[in-house]
Amino acid sequence: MPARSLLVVFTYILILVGLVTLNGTFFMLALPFIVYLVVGTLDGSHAHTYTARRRVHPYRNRVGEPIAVQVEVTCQGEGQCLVQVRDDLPQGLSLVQGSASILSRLRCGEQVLLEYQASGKRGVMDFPPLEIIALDALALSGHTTHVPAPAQVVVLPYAPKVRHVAIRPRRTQVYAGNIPSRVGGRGVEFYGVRHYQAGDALRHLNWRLNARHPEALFTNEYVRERVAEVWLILDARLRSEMYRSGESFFEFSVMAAASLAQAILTEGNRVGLLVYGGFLDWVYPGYGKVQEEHIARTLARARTGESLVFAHLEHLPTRLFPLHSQIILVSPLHPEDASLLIRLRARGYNLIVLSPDPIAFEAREMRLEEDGDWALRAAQLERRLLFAKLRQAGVQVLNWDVSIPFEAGMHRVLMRLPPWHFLQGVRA
Amino acid sequence: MKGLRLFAALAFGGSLLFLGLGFIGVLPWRYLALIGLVSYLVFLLALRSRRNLPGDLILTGIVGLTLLAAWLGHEALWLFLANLCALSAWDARRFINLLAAQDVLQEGNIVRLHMQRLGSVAVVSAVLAVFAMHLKLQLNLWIGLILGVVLSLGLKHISGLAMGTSPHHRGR
Repeated sequence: MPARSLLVVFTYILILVGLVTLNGTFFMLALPFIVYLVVGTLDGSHAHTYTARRRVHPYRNRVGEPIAVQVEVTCQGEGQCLVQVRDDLPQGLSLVQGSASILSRLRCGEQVLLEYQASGKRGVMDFPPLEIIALDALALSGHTTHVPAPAQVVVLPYAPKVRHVAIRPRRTQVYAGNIPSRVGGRGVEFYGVRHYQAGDALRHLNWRLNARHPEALFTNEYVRERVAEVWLILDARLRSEMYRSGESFFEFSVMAAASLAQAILTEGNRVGLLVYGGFLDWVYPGYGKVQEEHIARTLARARTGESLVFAHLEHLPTRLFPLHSQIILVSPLHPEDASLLIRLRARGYNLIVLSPDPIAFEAREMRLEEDGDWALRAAQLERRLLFAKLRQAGVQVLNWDVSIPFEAGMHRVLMRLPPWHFLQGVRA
Repeated sequence: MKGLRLFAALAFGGSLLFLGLGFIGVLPWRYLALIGLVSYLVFLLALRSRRNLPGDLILTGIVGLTLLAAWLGHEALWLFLANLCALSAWDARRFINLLAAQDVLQEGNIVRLHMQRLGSVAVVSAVLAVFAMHLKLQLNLWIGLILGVVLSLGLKHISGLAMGTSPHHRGR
């Protein structure tokens, strides 16, 4: 019950009993409460107006890193009053240091500064209006004003550093990079031999061949190294999400996508992103730091969602992806996804599926009885069969047990091309 | 903050003392002392709580007991003082919670001003009480009823003075 109401109830009861019994003592007992209530109202706190200005530094940050918030409130009006300033943090942000609430006496034109540090979960968050309560003389109750102090915070997903992601798409771009193309020229890996042409470097002459065929000169050609276009697809369908002890499984997918995007962009490649969930959200392929920021921001606002249209991967907008380009799908995978992935591979796309393991994630905290153990084994077997089917079609499938940190668990796997890649002669 | 705590403890002790004086003759003084001691310890524990409910319950208990004592015809002055002290202790406790819930700028000034206002409440109440004790009025039922209605309307006006929000005590 609010304090004022409690005192009013006491007063009414005492007066009522006094009236009924016609006994003055009860009126006397009510006196302190009456005087207290009257004195409490002797303050014109509701006559004030306020303005507020918020500063957030930095306005973009990674998960877990602190964000400093400063709010400056200025009072306008006559007299002075006791003011409680409360800043409600947006959902997803939590207080790390300081207090998001302050009590101060303010005169006309005076300012009060509220400072605190917060950190948050991944997301794009807007601060709600500031709540300012001008308290009455005895701080019994107050007059609430909501003052807008807009600011936005972007908390980018955590992106563990991966040094290299081995990709070998059939189609490359024109700029020099790290990915061997199917064209001879300057490079490191041996590509072939051709007749010497004027201007060729003498150190590239193939002396053995020249000795065998003295009538002509031959020069070595090397595999040209180029950049490639890579499309990252993040599976944000609702069925790909699950929670365990408040921990979201989707966050692992986002983390993996952020890490891959960072690693591939660092090597100079063009990277695009498609978030496939309740709706489609995409970033067109691009290079460099700006593109990294675009992708990180898109990943920051990625949420799982449900849609009848996008419930299956069948409606993946394949026209976005140039033919023979590299596609990396980050998804826990469902059995019905296999058919589309095989079709994509058949069309010539180079396909990597990075699959955070949902079964291991769920089973970790389950106390499995004998029957449960069988169920777990059956689920794992089903997943392995799905992987085998995809690998047979030429899709590179990487299973990630999310209990192992991404950089530790996936580092080696991402660094190497699969052995069958060389056996099939896919290599340039 | 320490000063406020001490004030709250002393005020509640005073309230129990005055209430005990009001109840002398109803119960043997040993029982009164025991009940008073237990209540005092409960209040000291409640002082540590960040919630307002324990304080509200204690104030309700004191007001209920003064009501009972007045009904039994005990000395009005002691009961008035018991009520006044209990109200002061309750207010100090609430104010401590308000200060503890957030950062406070110029805490000393804020506390001093609050105590001045609380002091003025005590003085005005005491003056009115002394005046009331010496005032002999013969009221008939109708005049009493009219006065009661006027007082009630005044209280209603005070309680509804655009002060809709209680301050937040757990802002941190």
